[in-house]
Amino acid sequence: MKITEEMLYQSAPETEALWLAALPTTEQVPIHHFSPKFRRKMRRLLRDQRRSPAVRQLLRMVRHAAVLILTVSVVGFSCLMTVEACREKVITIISEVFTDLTRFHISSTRKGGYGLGTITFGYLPEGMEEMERTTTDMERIIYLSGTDGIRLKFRQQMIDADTDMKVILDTEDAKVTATSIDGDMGTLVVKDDYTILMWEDDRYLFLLSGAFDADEIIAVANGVTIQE
Amino acid sequence: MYEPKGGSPPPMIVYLAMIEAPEEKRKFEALYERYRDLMFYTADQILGDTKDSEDVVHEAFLKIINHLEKIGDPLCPQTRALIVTITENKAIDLYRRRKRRSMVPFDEAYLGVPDISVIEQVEDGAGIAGAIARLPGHYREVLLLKYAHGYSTEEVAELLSLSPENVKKLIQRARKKLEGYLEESEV
Repeated sequence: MKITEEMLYQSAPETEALWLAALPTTEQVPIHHFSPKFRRKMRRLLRDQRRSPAVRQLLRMVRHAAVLILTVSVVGFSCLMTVEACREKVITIISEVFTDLTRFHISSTRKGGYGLGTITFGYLPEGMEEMERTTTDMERIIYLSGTDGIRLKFRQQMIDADTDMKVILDTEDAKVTATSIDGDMGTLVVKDDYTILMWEDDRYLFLLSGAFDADEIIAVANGVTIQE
Repeated sequence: MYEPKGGSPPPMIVYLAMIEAPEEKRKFEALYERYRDLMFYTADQILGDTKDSEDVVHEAFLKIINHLEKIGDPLCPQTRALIVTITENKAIDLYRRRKRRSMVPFDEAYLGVPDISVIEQVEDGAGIAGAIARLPGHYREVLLLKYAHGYSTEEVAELLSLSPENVKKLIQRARKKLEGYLEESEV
């Protein structure tokens, strides 16, 4: 029997009812006593949601003064460029490190309009192939997958003078190191067996993530080339 | 959500979203109070590890924050189904990363909630509906999100942190598996 879309639309609601009925009810679910670490993370999340954005902003500045590590990275600098050209090419990244996450504020003085270019992966882990990509004027996302189902996600984001971007990475209990990708500064976050690499040249921010070790992710990143 | 200068669509990758509307804040609190134990139960059934399960619950709440607009009444069964689906999906992902099974392809082995012994008791006469319920977690998740909740392929991909292409492939494989189940039951 061939399964049609109509059959699925007709049967799926009933399936959901059957499936939910097989799960324990709210009264039957055992009460779990969450760890202090989990309760702390959720208290922060809940507290953050209760406040207005303006209050959140103010309290962030005051509360995090004691733990704030302010790193200002001036990147994309070439000593062959003129001072004026350097100003246009500079991306600024400010990192705020908190107990359970790191927030990056990314901005640039560079004028945009230069497009995303053509991307080539010079190296990919064995068996890994591109499955899907989505592209807009400012952003490109590429999903890759290996034969074992392990996925790699690559994102390229144009950074120009109109960009005021924030990236938040879960860095609790993670190993966070600075690294260099083809001469550009990068941040490597390794948590359990999952790696996230964020790096930028003077035009784009890149994020590469997947269940691979750091060396493999760095190798993929080093093989990325963008041609205009 | 974060607003880039110039009013262009937010291009950033946001792990945490700012909830601005008061009703959404209350909704999130209600979801947390009502479902945290069920989410832990779901994750623990798959992972069998308290720390990993709590990590999954936290990650699932981060995903929920980013999709609060898709969630209706916190008390309705559809919301329950969505919350469990997101949690199950995160747990299965972590399980796969940890185990990296090579003997049996991941998508052939049953992995999900409830346990297979419970789900096999689902009435045989339920036909296609029963067969869908017996599918491994990742297949069931995509089918229910698309055909019971009515999400688009792209929305399902966002909810399950998959690519749209992967979602289409999972749906294709799920259909084949269903056809196999139904042929067996006719024999």
